[in-house]
Amino acid sequence: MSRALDIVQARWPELAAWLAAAPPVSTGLVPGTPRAVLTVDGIQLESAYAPEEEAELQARLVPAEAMQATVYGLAQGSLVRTLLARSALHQLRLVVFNPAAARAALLHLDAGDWLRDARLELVRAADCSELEFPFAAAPSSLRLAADEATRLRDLVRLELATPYIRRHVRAQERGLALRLEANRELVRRDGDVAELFGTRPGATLRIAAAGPSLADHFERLRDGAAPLLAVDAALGPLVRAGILPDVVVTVDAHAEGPRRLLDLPSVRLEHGTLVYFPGVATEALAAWPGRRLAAYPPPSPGDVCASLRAEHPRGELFSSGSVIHPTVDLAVRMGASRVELYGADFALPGGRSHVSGSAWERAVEVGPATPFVLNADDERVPSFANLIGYLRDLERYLARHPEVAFVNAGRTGAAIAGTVSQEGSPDGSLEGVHVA
Amino acid sequence: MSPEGPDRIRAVAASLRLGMDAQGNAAFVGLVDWLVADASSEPAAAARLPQLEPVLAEIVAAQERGDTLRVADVLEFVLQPRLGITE
Repeated sequence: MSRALDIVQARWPELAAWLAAAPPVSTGLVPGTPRAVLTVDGIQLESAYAPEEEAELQARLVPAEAMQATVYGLAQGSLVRTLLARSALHQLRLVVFNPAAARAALLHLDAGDWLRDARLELVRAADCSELEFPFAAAPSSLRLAADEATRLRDLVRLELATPYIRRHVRAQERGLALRLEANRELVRRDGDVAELFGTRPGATLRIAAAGPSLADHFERLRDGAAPLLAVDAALGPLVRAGILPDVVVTVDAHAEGPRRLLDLPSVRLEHGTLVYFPGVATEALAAWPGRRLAAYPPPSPGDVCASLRAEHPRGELFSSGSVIHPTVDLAVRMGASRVELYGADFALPGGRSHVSGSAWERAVEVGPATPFVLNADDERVPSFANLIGYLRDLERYLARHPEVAFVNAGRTGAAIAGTVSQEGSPDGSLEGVHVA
Repeated sequence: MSPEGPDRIRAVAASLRLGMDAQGNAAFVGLVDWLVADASSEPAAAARLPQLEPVLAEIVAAQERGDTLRVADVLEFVLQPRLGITE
C-alpha cells in the first residue's frame, strides 16, 4: 500500500474500504510530457505541462477569503494542495467521484502531505445530495464519475455552465424584447393561466413530454382516464395517434420552433387550451384555434418581461430552460395530487432525440464522450448536457413539492429523482403509486 | 499570426481546465473558425496547416473520448508553439 493510501486508511477507514473494493481500471502515463501525469481509462487527470498553474486557475473559483470550501474530484491532488496552502481556509471537503480512479491516483502519488492536513475531509459523492459552495472542480474526475455519482456530477457541471448559459440568454434578449412588444395586444386580449390554477384539486393529471418513449404510452393515453397536458413538441405525434390533449404548453422563443410544432389541422385543436409565454412567435400563437392563456416565467434580474408583466399581470410558471418545467408546474398549480409523466426521457433512448413524428426528431450519433444519465434499471442512456440540466432542475422542483406524487411512466429514459416508476404500482396500472 | 490567436487559445484552454465545457466548446468553434480565416488570408499560415494535421488529429481524438485536459494541454503547449505564437 502507498503512503497516501495508508493515510486514508488511518483517517477515513470506511472510505478506504470503499476504495479497496473498487474494480481495477486501466491506467497509464501521458507520454512525452514534462510531468508524470496519470491517465485513467484514457483520461488524463491533470495538466501534464503546468499542473500548478492549472490548479491555481481552478482554485480561483473559491474566494481567497473563504474559510471553508469544497473540491469536487481528487484528480491527482494538485487542486486540493493549492487550496490547502491558503491560511484563511479552515475546512476543505474533498468529494471523491470514482473510487477506482481515486485509488489509482493515490497509489501514484509519491507523498500524501496534504492528506494529513487536519482541515481536510474526504467524502463520497454518493453521500452528497446537493452542492456545497464555494467550490472548485477537477474536470477529469467529473468525466470519470462512477454511476452512483452521476447526479452530483451533473449538478457541478450545471453550476459551472450557468454563467455561460446566462450570457447566452442575455444575448438573445433583444430579439425577445421585440417579440414581447409584438405580442402585447395578444396578451392583453388573451386569458390568464391563473384561470386554471386550483381547478383540479386532488386530481391525477397526465403530462406528455416529447421524449422517444412517449410513443410507448399512446395506447394508455388514448383511454382519456385523466386530463392530459402536453408540451408543444409532443402535440403533433399525439394528434396523429388520435390523442387530443386538454392543454398544450409552449414557451420557446425560437422564431421557428412553435410555428412548426403547432402547425396542425385546426379542427382537431379547437377545444384545446394553449398556455404560452409571451416570447413565442406571434404567428404561431395567432394560429391557435382554441382558448389561449398567457403566463410568465418568474421574474429574473433584468427581467425582459417587466413592462408587459406590469401592464398585463398573468400567472407565473416555473421555468428553467425546458417546456417540461412550466408544464409540470401548471399541473401542480391546477391542484393535482398526482402527476404522471409520459415521455419525460431527458435522454436519447434508441439514439433518437424526440418521439417519432415530432418536428425536431432526429437520430443522434453517440460516442465515448456523449453525456449519459441512468435509467430506472441503472443502465447508462446517452443524453445531451442541456437535457441533463433540465432533468436536475426538474428534480429540484419536485423536491419542493412533497405534497404531490410524481410518477415516471417510462423506464427507458432517465430515472427522475422524486418520482416512482410505473412498476412501483402492484398492478402496473399507475394507480395507487405513492412516493416513498 | 495576430495577437488574437493566443487569446483565443487561452480562452478555450481555461474554460476546459475549469470544467466549463459548454463555454470551452463554443470558444473552440470560434478558434477553429479563426484559424481557417487566418489561413485564408495569410499564405504563411496556410503553409503551416499540413504540419499541424497530427496535432489537430490528437485534439479531435481527445475530444472524442472527453479528455478535455488533454485538449487544453495540446492547444496551449503543442499547437500554440507550432503556430509560431510567442507571448
